[in-house]
Amino acid sequence: MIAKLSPFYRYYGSYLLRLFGIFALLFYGTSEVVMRVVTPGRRFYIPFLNQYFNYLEWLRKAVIHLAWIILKLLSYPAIIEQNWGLAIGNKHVFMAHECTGYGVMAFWIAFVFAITANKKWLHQLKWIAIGIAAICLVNSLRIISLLLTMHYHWPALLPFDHHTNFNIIAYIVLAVMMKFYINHIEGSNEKGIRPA
Amino acid sequence: MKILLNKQARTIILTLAVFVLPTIASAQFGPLPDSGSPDGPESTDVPFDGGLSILIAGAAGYGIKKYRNYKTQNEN
Repeated sequence: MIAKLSPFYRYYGSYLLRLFGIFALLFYGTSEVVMRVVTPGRRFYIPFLNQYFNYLEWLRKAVIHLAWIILKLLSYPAIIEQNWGLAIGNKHVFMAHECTGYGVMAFWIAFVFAITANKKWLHQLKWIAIGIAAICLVNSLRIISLLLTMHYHWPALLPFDHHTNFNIIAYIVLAVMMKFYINHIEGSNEKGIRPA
Repeated sequence: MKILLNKQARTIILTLAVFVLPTIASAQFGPLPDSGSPDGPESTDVPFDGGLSILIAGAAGYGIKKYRNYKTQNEN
């Protein structure tokens, strides 16, 4: 039956299926399943998973600690508040699980899987790791910018609130990252290294 | 009535509508807390997934470009 479909549906359909299927699995799996089982007080809370499988907490700690290290290197008196927030003086930024960027990471993983064939998993793993590290860095820089803006009362450059402005900048960086990866993949294909 | 969109374009638009619209709808957030005082304690939360729909639409668009390249290669 699949063979009867036009090349467009076979090619583009399988691409979209990989992209949306993996994204939906990771995004909704995290927001609807993992978040429920690792959050104390929720209906399906499992303490064991919270202790050993709470990757949202790992992500949050990674982003906050990275932001804290950068601020310390810049000689700011930054304080980590019980692993869920960062403060300079009386200005605070709180990081809920929704702020870790797990949705963007889910998208990146799905994108890497969608545009490359399944065989060379080491290549995919490498680029997934690079992407996740870059997203964490962008997120940390976003939080630093937001905190410093609050600290110094800087005016907004764009006609939105600071949070939206820094999100726009972060998404531009992510789009550039996607473009860089696409160029890398297409360059590899031209050299005959890897058919996508 | 003249058909304005071909089958492929309709498929793309429908697919994007099905997958992207719920993301846009669920990506809204309320106003940020703000003390209003320049010297008083001030705090904010920082959700990051609001622009996901744009990235997804971009990736879906890139798939069309990939398909065109694939088609051109097959024709040559």
